[in-house]
Amino acid sequence: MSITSDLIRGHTDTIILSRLMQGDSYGYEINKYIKVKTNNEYELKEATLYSTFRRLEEGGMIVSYWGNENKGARRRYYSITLKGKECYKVQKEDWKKTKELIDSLIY
Amino acid sequence: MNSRIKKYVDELFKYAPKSRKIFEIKEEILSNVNDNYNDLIESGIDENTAYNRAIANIGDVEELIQKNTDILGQQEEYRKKSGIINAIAIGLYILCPVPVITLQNEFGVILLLGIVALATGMMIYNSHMKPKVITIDDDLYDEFIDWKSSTNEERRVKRDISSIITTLTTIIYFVVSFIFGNWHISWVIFLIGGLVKKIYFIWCDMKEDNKYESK
Repeated sequence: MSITSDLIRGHTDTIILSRLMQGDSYGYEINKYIKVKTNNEYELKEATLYSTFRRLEEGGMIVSYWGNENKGARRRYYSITLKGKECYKVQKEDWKKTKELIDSLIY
Repeated sequence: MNSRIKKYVDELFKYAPKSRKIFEIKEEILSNVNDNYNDLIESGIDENTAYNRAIANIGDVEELIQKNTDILGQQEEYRKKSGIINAIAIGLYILCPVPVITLQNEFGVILLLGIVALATGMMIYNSHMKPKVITIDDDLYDEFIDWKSSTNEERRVKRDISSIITTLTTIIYFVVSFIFGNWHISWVIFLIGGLVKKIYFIWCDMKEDNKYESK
Protein backbone atom coordinates (compact mmCIF):
# COMPACT_ATOMS: atom_id res chain seq x y z
CA MET A 1 0.00 0.00 0.00
CA SER A 2 2.74 2.47 0.92
CA ILE A 3 4.66 1.79 -2.29
CA THR A 4 1.50 2.25 -4.30
CA SER A 5 0.86 5.54 -2.50
CA ASP A 6 4.30 6.79 -3.46
CA LEU A 7 3.72 5.89 -7.08
CA ILE A 8 0.34 7.58 -7.13
CA ARG A 9 1.41 10.72 -5.27
CA GLY A 10 2.88 12.40 -8.36
CA HIS A 11 -0.48 12.14 -10.06
CA THR A 12 -2.62 13.68 -7.32
CA ASP A 13 -3.03 16.91 -9.30
CA THR A 14 -4.21 15.07 -12.39
CA ILE A 15 -6.60 12.89 -10.39
CA ILE A 16 -8.25 15.93 -8.81
CA LEU A 17 -8.43 17.81 -12.11
CA SER A 18 -10.00 14.73 -13.67
CA ARG A 19 -12.77 14.71 -11.06
CA LEU A 20 -13.37 18.45 -11.50
CA MET A 21 -13.70 17.96 -15.27
CA GLN A 22 -17.07 16.38 -14.43
CA GLY A 23 -18.26 19.41 -12.46
CA ASP A 24 -17.69 21.45 -9.30
CA SER A 25 -16.96 19.52 -6.15
CA TYR A 26 -15.58 19.79 -2.62
CA GLY A 27 -12.82 18.09 -0.67
CA TYR A 28 -14.63 15.22 0.98
CA GLU A 29 -16.70 14.39 -2.08
CA ILE A 30 -13.56 14.18 -4.25
CA ASN A 31 -11.83 11.97 -1.70
CA LYS A 32 -14.88 9.71 -1.44
CA TYR A 33 -14.97 9.43 -5.21
CA ILE A 34 -11.32 8.34 -5.23
CA LYS A 35 -12.05 5.78 -2.52
CA VAL A 36 -15.08 4.33 -4.28
CA LYS A 37 -13.37 4.26 -7.68
CA THR A 38 -10.38 2.39 -6.24
CA ASN A 39 -12.50 -0.07 -4.22
CA ASN A 40 -11.24 1.40 -0.92
CA GLU A 41 -7.63 0.84 -2.01
CA TYR A 42 -6.64 4.48 -2.12
CA GLU A 43 -7.58 7.62 -0.23
CA LEU A 44 -5.94 11.01 0.25
CA LYS A 45 -5.15 12.57 3.61
CA GLU A 46 -6.91 15.84 4.40
CA ALA A 47 -3.59 17.68 4.56
CA THR A 48 -2.49 16.34 1.17
CA LEU A 49 -5.84 17.24 -0.33
CA TYR A 50 -5.58 20.74 1.04
CA SER A 51 -2.03 21.35 -0.22
CA THR A 52 -3.01 20.06 -3.65
CA PHE A 53 -5.99 22.41 -3.84
CA ARG A 54 -3.83 25.37 -2.88
CA ARG A 55 -1.17 24.45 -5.39
CA LEU A 56 -3.72 24.10 -8.18
CA GLU A 57 -5.39 27.33 -7.15
CA GLU A 58 -2.13 29.26 -7.13
CA GLY A 59 -1.37 27.84 -10.57
CA GLY A 60 -4.71 29.13 -11.84
CA MET A 61 -5.99 25.62 -12.61
CA ILE A 62 -8.95 25.84 -10.26
CA VAL A 63 -10.97 28.46 -8.41
CA SER A 64 -12.82 28.05 -5.13
CA TYR A 65 -15.95 29.40 -3.45
CA TRP A 66 -17.68 28.71 -0.14
CA GLY A 67 -21.03 26.95 -0.15
CA ASN A 68 -24.17 27.99 1.72
CA GLU A 69 -24.67 24.97 3.95
CA ASN A 70 -27.13 25.72 6.70
CA LYS A 71 -26.04 23.11 9.18
CA GLY A 72 -22.53 22.13 10.19
CA ALA A 73 -19.34 23.45 8.68
CA ARG A 74 -19.33 25.29 5.37
CA ARG A 75 -17.97 23.49 2.35
CA ARG A 76 -15.41 24.95 0.03
CA TYR A 77 -16.22 24.10 -3.57
CA TYR A 78 -13.74 23.96 -6.40
CA SER A 79 -14.25 24.63 -10.06
CA ILE A 80 -11.83 23.90 -12.89
CA THR A 81 -10.66 26.80 -15.07
CA LEU A 82 -9.94 26.83 -18.80
CA LYS A 83 -6.24 26.68 -18.02
CA GLY A 84 -6.90 23.71 -15.75
CA LYS A 85 -8.80 21.91 -18.50
CA GLU A 86 -5.96 22.40 -20.95
CA CYS A 87 -3.40 21.30 -18.39
CA TYR A 88 -5.47 18.21 -17.65
CA LYS A 89 -5.49 17.22 -21.33
CA VAL A 90 -1.70 17.53 -21.51
CA GLN A 91 -1.22 15.54 -18.30
CA LYS A 92 -3.60 12.86 -19.50
CA GLU A 93 -1.62 12.46 -22.72
CA ASP A 94 1.64 12.41 -20.77
CA TRP A 95 0.31 9.67 -18.54
CA LYS A 96 -0.88 7.61 -21.52
CA LYS A 97 2.60 7.76 -23.04
CA THR A 98 4.30 7.00 -19.73
CA LYS A 99 2.00 4.04 -19.13
CA GLU A 100 2.79 2.56 -22.54
CA LEU A 101 6.49 3.09 -21.96
CA ILE A 102 6.53 1.48 -18.54
CA ASP A 103 4.31 -1.37 -19.79
CA SER A 104 6.82 -2.12 -22.51
CA LEU A 105 9.65 -2.13 -19.99
CA ILE A 106 8.03 -3.92 -17.06
CA TYR A 107 6.10 -7.07 -17.94
CA MET B 1 -21.23 18.98 13.79
CA ASN B 2 -19.59 16.42 16.03
CA SER B 3 -18.20 18.19 19.09
CA ARG B 4 -15.40 15.68 19.61
CA ILE B 5 -14.10 16.23 16.09
CA LYS B 6 -14.35 19.98 16.47
CA LYS B 7 -12.43 19.79 19.71
CA TYR B 8 -9.72 17.65 18.14
CA VAL B 9 -9.26 19.94 15.13
CA ASP B 10 -9.30 23.00 17.41
CA GLU B 11 -6.50 21.38 19.37
CA LEU B 12 -4.48 20.78 16.18
CA PHE B 13 -4.60 24.48 15.34
CA LYS B 14 -4.18 25.68 18.91
CA TYR B 15 -0.69 27.09 18.41
CA ALA B 16 -1.09 28.18 14.78
CA PRO B 17 -1.07 31.94 14.11
CA LYS B 18 -4.57 33.39 14.09
CA SER B 19 -4.66 34.46 10.47
CA ARG B 20 -7.49 34.33 7.99
CA LYS B 21 -5.70 31.75 5.89
CA ILE B 22 -5.18 29.43 8.83
CA PHE B 23 -8.83 29.87 9.75
CA GLU B 24 -9.81 28.79 6.25
CA ILE B 25 -7.58 25.71 6.38
CA LYS B 26 -9.20 24.78 9.66
CA GLU B 27 -12.73 25.30 8.36
CA GLU B 28 -12.11 23.19 5.28
CA ILE B 29 -10.44 20.34 7.11
CA LEU B 30 -13.10 20.38 9.79
CA SER B 31 -15.86 20.19 7.21
CA ASN B 32 -14.18 17.28 5.39
CA VAL B 33 -13.49 15.29 8.55
CA ASN B 34 -17.04 15.85 9.72
CA ASP B 35 -18.49 14.66 6.41
CA ASN B 36 -16.27 11.61 6.59
CA TYR B 37 -17.45 10.87 10.13
CA ASN B 38 -21.13 11.21 9.24
CA ASP B 39 -20.68 8.87 6.29
CA LEU B 40 -18.98 6.27 8.46
CA ILE B 41 -21.77 6.47 11.03
CA GLU B 42 -24.37 6.06 8.30
CA SER B 43 -22.64 2.94 7.05
CA GLY B 44 -23.24 1.40 10.48
CA ILE B 45 -19.86 1.85 12.13
CA ASP B 46 -19.91 2.67 15.84
CA GLU B 47 -19.07 6.20 17.02
CA ASN B 48 -15.66 5.44 18.46
CA THR B 49 -14.34 3.63 15.40
CA ALA B 50 -15.79 6.28 13.10
CA TYR B 51 -14.16 9.03 15.13
CA ASN B 52 -10.77 7.30 15.12
CA ARG B 53 -10.88 6.62 11.41
CA ALA B 54 -11.94 10.14 10.50
CA ILE B 55 -9.19 11.61 12.70
CA ALA B 56 -6.55 9.25 11.34
CA ASN B 57 -7.20 10.53 7.84
CA ILE B 58 -6.24 14.15 8.62
CA GLY B 59 -2.51 13.69 8.01
CA ASP B 60 0.26 16.19 8.59
CA VAL B 61 -1.27 19.52 9.50
CA GLU B 62 1.96 20.92 10.94
CA GLU B 63 3.46 21.27 7.48
CA LEU B 64 0.40 23.12 6.21
CA ILE B 65 0.56 25.56 9.09
CA GLN B 66 4.28 26.07 8.57
CA LYS B 67 3.80 26.85 4.89
CA ASN B 68 1.14 29.42 5.60
CA THR B 69 3.09 31.14 8.33
CA ASP B 70 5.72 32.37 5.87
CA ILE B 71 3.43 35.20 4.81
CA LEU B 72 3.45 36.46 8.36
CA GLY B 73 7.26 36.49 8.23
CA GLN B 74 7.08 38.77 5.23
CA GLN B 75 4.96 41.24 7.16
CA GLU B 76 7.39 41.11 10.05
CA GLU B 77 10.22 41.99 7.67
CA TYR B 78 8.27 44.97 6.38
CA ARG B 79 7.64 46.15 9.93
CA LYS B 80 11.37 46.23 10.68
CA LYS B 81 12.27 47.98 7.43
CA SER B 82 9.51 50.53 7.81
CA GLY B 83 10.70 51.30 11.34
CA ILE B 84 14.16 52.21 10.03
CA ILE B 85 12.80 54.33 7.18
CA ASN B 86 10.49 56.18 9.56
CA ALA B 87 13.34 56.81 12.01
CA ILE B 88 15.54 58.27 9.25
CA ALA B 89 12.67 60.43 7.97
CA ILE B 90 11.99 61.82 11.43
CA GLY B 91 15.72 62.41 11.90
CA LEU B 92 15.73 64.43 8.70
CA TYR B 93 12.76 66.51 9.91
CA ILE B 94 14.60 67.30 13.12
CA LEU B 95 17.87 68.17 11.35
CA CYS B 96 16.28 70.22 8.55
CA PRO B 97 16.85 73.67 10.16
CA VAL B 98 20.63 73.02 10.42
CA PRO B 99 21.52 74.35 6.92
CA VAL B 100 19.47 77.50 7.55
CA ILE B 101 21.23 78.15 10.84
CA THR B 102 24.74 77.43 9.53
CA LEU B 103 24.56 78.97 6.02
CA GLN B 104 22.33 81.96 6.88
CA ASN B 105 21.28 82.46 3.25
CA GLU B 106 18.86 81.33 0.51
CA PHE B 107 20.83 78.14 -0.08
CA GLY B 108 20.14 77.14 3.47
CA VAL B 109 16.40 77.50 2.88
CA ILE B 110 16.58 75.56 -0.39
CA LEU B 111 18.51 72.82 1.34
CA LEU B 112 15.97 72.75 4.15
CA LEU B 113 13.06 72.41 1.77
CA GLY B 114 14.96 69.67 -0.05
CA ILE B 115 15.48 67.72 3.17
CA VAL B 116 11.82 68.09 4.16
CA ALA B 117 10.71 66.92 0.72
CA LEU B 118 13.01 63.91 0.96
CA ALA B 119 11.73 62.96 4.43
CA THR B 120 8.10 63.30 3.33
CA GLY B 121 8.81 61.26 0.22
CA MET B 122 10.32 58.51 2.38
CA MET B 123 7.26 58.39 4.58
CA ILE B 124 4.85 58.24 1.67
CA TYR B 125 6.96 55.55 -0.03
CA ASN B 126 6.94 53.61 3.19
CA SER B 127 3.18 53.62 3.53
CA HIS B 128 2.79 52.41 -0.04
CA MET B 129 5.26 49.55 0.33
CA LYS B 130 3.15 47.81 2.94
CA PRO B 131 2.62 44.25 1.68
CA LYS B 132 -0.95 43.43 0.79
CA VAL B 133 -2.12 40.10 2.08
CA ILE B 134 -3.11 38.07 -0.95
CA THR B 135 -6.44 36.43 -0.37
CA ILE B 136 -8.62 34.21 -2.46
CA ASP B 137 -12.03 35.54 -3.42
CA ASP B 138 -14.93 33.78 -1.83
CA ASP B 139 -18.44 34.52 -0.66
CA LEU B 140 -17.87 33.84 3.01
CA TYR B 141 -15.52 36.75 3.58
CA ASP B 142 -16.39 39.16 0.79
CA GLU B 143 -17.92 41.60 3.19
CA PHE B 144 -15.05 41.33 5.61
CA ILE B 145 -12.50 41.90 2.85
CA ASP B 146 -14.43 44.86 1.45
CA TRP B 147 -14.52 46.47 4.82
CA LYS B 148 -10.88 45.75 5.53
CA SER B 149 -9.47 46.92 2.21
CA SER B 150 -11.53 50.11 2.25
CA THR B 151 -10.35 51.02 5.73
CA ASN B 152 -6.76 50.18 4.77
CA GLU B 153 -7.03 52.44 1.74
CA GLU B 154 -8.59 55.19 3.83
CA ARG B 155 -5.89 54.86 6.44
CA ARG B 156 -3.22 55.16 3.80
CA VAL B 157 -4.78 58.31 2.36
CA LYS B 158 -5.10 59.66 5.89
CA ARG B 159 -1.40 59.09 6.54
CA ASP B 160 -0.37 60.66 3.24
CA ILE B 161 -2.49 63.77 3.78
CA SER B 162 -1.15 64.04 7.33
CA SER B 163 2.47 64.09 6.14
CA ILE B 164 1.60 66.60 3.40
CA ILE B 165 0.09 68.92 6.03
CA THR B 166 3.30 68.63 8.10
CA THR B 167 5.45 69.53 5.10
CA LEU B 168 3.23 72.43 4.06
CA THR B 169 3.30 73.78 7.61
CA THR B 170 7.10 73.76 7.62
CA ILE B 171 7.29 75.41 4.20
CA ILE B 172 4.75 78.10 5.12
CA TYR B 173 6.62 78.72 8.38
CA PHE B 174 9.91 79.45 6.63
CA VAL B 175 8.44 81.38 3.71
CA VAL B 176 6.41 83.62 6.05
CA SER B 177 9.31 84.07 8.46
CA PHE B 178 11.80 85.00 5.74
CA ILE B 179 9.43 87.37 3.94
CA PHE B 180 8.11 89.16 7.02
CA GLY B 181 11.04 88.54 9.34
CA ASN B 182 8.63 87.86 12.17
CA TRP B 183 10.52 84.92 13.69
CA HIS B 184 9.41 85.86 17.20
CA ILE B 185 5.78 85.03 16.41
CA SER B 186 5.77 82.90 13.27
CA TRP B 187 6.17 79.64 15.27
CA VAL B 188 2.41 79.92 15.86
CA ILE B 189 2.11 78.47 12.34
CA PHE B 190 3.19 75.11 13.74
CA LEU B 191 0.35 75.22 16.26
CA ILE B 192 -2.10 76.07 13.49
CA GLY B 193 -0.67 73.25 11.39
CA GLY B 194 -1.17 70.80 14.24
CA LEU B 195 -4.69 72.06 14.72
CA VAL B 196 -5.51 71.60 11.02
CA LYS B 197 -4.23 68.04 11.21
CA LYS B 198 -6.30 67.29 14.30
CA ILE B 199 -9.44 68.70 12.67
CA TYR B 200 -8.77 66.55 9.60
CA PHE B 201 -8.44 63.42 11.76
CA ILE B 202 -11.66 64.15 13.62
CA TRP B 203 -13.43 64.71 10.32
CA CYS B 204 -12.11 61.34 9.05
CA ASP B 205 -13.28 59.53 12.18
CA MET B 206 -16.71 61.08 11.93
CA LYS B 207 -16.99 59.99 8.30
CA GLU B 208 -16.03 56.44 9.26
CA ASP B 209 -18.50 56.34 12.14
CA ASN B 210 -21.31 57.47 9.86
CA LYS B 211 -20.45 54.75 7.37
CA TYR B 212 -20.43 52.14 10.09
CA GLU B 213 -23.78 53.23 11.47
CA SER B 214 -25.47 53.29 8.09
CA LYS B 215 -24.48 49.66 7.47
